[in-house]
Order: sequence, then C-alpha cells, then structure tokens
Amino acid sequence: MFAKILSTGCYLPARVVANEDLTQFPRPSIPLIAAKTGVEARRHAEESETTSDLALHAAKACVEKSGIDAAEIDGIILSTSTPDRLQPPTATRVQHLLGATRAFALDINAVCSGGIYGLHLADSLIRSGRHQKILVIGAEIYSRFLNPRDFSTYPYFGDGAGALLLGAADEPGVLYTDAGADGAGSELIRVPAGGTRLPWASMQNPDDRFFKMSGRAVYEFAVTKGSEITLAALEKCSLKPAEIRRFISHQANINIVNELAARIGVPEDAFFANLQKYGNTASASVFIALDELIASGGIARGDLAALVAFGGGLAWGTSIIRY
Amino acid sequence: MTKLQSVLTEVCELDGTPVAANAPFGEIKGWDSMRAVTFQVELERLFGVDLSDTMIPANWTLDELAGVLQQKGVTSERLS
Repeated sequence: MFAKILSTGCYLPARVVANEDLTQFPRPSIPLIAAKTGVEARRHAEESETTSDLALHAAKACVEKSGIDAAEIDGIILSTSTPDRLQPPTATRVQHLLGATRAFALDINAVCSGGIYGLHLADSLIRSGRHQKILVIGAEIYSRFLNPRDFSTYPYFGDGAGALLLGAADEPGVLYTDAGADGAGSELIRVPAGGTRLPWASMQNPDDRFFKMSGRAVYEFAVTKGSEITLAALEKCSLKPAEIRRFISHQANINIVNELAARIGVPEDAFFANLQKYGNTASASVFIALDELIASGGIARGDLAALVAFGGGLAWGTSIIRY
Repeated sequence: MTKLQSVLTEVCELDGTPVAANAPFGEIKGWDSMRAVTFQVELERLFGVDLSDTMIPANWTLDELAGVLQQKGVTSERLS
C-alpha cells in the first residue's frame, strides 16, 4: 500500500500588507526588507478570522478539487504553531465545519516544518493500511504573535493556510518522507510566554508574548540542514537533482532558497518561490507553494517534486513526491 | 545600567553586561541592520522622538546616540 496526493488547496487572507504599509519602521529601512529576504508583501488575517477559519478555507478548496465527500476522510492532521487556543485542537473545529464526520482530528506543532511532519505521519498511516484518506493542513496566523516593533521578525511573516489530501494507492505517489529534530537549538526560535515554562500570570516583560528568532543562527541551520536532507532524500530514491521537476522549500527567505539551490547544484529557478507575495507562512508555506505550482501548471501529474522544510525546534522534514 | 544600555541589551538579547558607552554599535554581539532598526523603533516609542528619516549607523556609540537624543529634546534625566 502506498499514498499519493489526491488534491491540494490553499487560502490566503484578503488583506495585503505591502512593505510600504509598515509605517512603524523608519522610512530608510523599508528597502532592507526586500533586500534581506525577498519579501515584498504579506497577507494578514482580519481580527475576526482564526487559524481554524484559514484552515477550513484551504481544506474546503482541497476536498472540492478531489471530488470526494468530506465524510470519506479518515483523519485530519493540522499543523500549526499559532493555534486557535491551547486546547482543544484547532483541527477539531475544522473537522466539524468541514463535515468530516468520520475523521480523527489532531494538531501537531513542528513550527515551520510542521506541514512536512504532517505529510510524513499521514503517509505512514496510509502505508500501514489502517487509513485510506488523510487530510493534512498547515495553517498559521503569525501576525497575532509578532511584535509590531521588531524589525527582525515582523516584516517577514504572513498568514495563510495550505492543505493536501493523501489517499491510498497501488503506485507510490509519496516516494519518500523523513523528519528530524535537534532540541539543542530549541531557544533559537520561540514564543517565551503562554506555556508552562512562563505562564501568562508570571510574565514580567509584556514582549515575552511575542515570537522571537535568532536570525543568523537559523539561517546557517536552514541552508546546512536543508541541503543535507534534500540530497539525502534524493539519494534514498536513487534520483539526481536534474530529475526533479521543481524543488519546493519552506518559504523563509529568498537568500536561503537560492543558497539551497547552489548547494544542491541546481539553477535558482529550479526552486519555486512565492515568499515575495506572502512572506513566511511557517508550516503552511510548502503546501501553499505546492498548490500554487500545481494550479499554474508548474507541476503536472507524473512530475517529481522535492519538498523541504526547516525551522523552530529545531526541526526539519523532507519529501520526494510523484504528483 | 542607563536606559539606553537597557534597551540595547534587550534588543540584542545580551546577557546583561552593560555595553560600554564608547563601543561602536557594529562591534556589539548581536548587532545587525535588522536589530538596528528595532533599536531605533524602541527609542522612538520610549522617548517620543521622531527618528523616522534616519538609520542609526553601526559606527555610532551610546554616547553619540545620547547626544542626538538630547538635541531632540530628551533630557539627560530621562536617558539615565
């Protein structure tokens, strides 16, 4: 038994926030945003929108394309590091509103790698023969956890959701997945307050409710681990980089994407990038990119694609798919 | 630790040792162009000054920055 991608979907909130709209930062600093990361705009959810709302939109788009009934879905794995609430799982609201009445529903959190982690788990569950159809969603509203005064984080992230429906198949569509972590780097990307280590009631510094990131160290990790695991995945599948139709990296920073291309030995345009429009949408980014690429004809049925993600944890994941 | 040292320590996520008043920002661990902007935005918020048309250069020091802020009307008491 194998798993293959039946369909994909995504949802980006309507509100476009361009770099020029970030008026809290000094005017001469605005060109730095695109120069340092490639991000020219991002989407921000409306105040009334929640992570589950974004996830639901992406899920509906994905399920509609597949032509199946939501009640046929066996499970929903929702990756998010910006959930609706600490509990219950954000996935359960999606399950209910989608009408996926038979599906188990749980959240996972591997920060920016979460989408690939979800794919890894769903592929394993289908290969085990226990489940036939699993919906994997990455959904994030980072704009609620960013410090609007922090230039090293606020301009680079955006809100969005992507979804992917995996189904059982006789031929392998998901050729390979892997996931890993190194908790020694757990302080490099974090939201300090709100959990048991620093409950809200004990918070002294109000800024501890915001996302923090040690950018330079994360950059080094991303380019080193990202290229290493992508090359390892290709080797496991006995594939050469040139056989991959498109590479889809986590959309963190265009310089990371270009450096990955250089280290893997492919042209920069072998890697798809849409971070210019959406910024870093964390665990949603790879699925949003995959959906856009499929919709634009950049990947057709039968094409090979390599997916790679890395981020907080530190965690990473990779997959080779034949769409 | 002065107010400026405190803000700089927070922005650059330093271990709490005060940054020397005559050390160029570019030589401070954790300083980069991103954090320079965050530092500037924090100063604007804290002292109610408008620095929006400038960028703090890496060769400035806390002493030089304090002088600029004083020229913009921030008293030495508020900086201490």
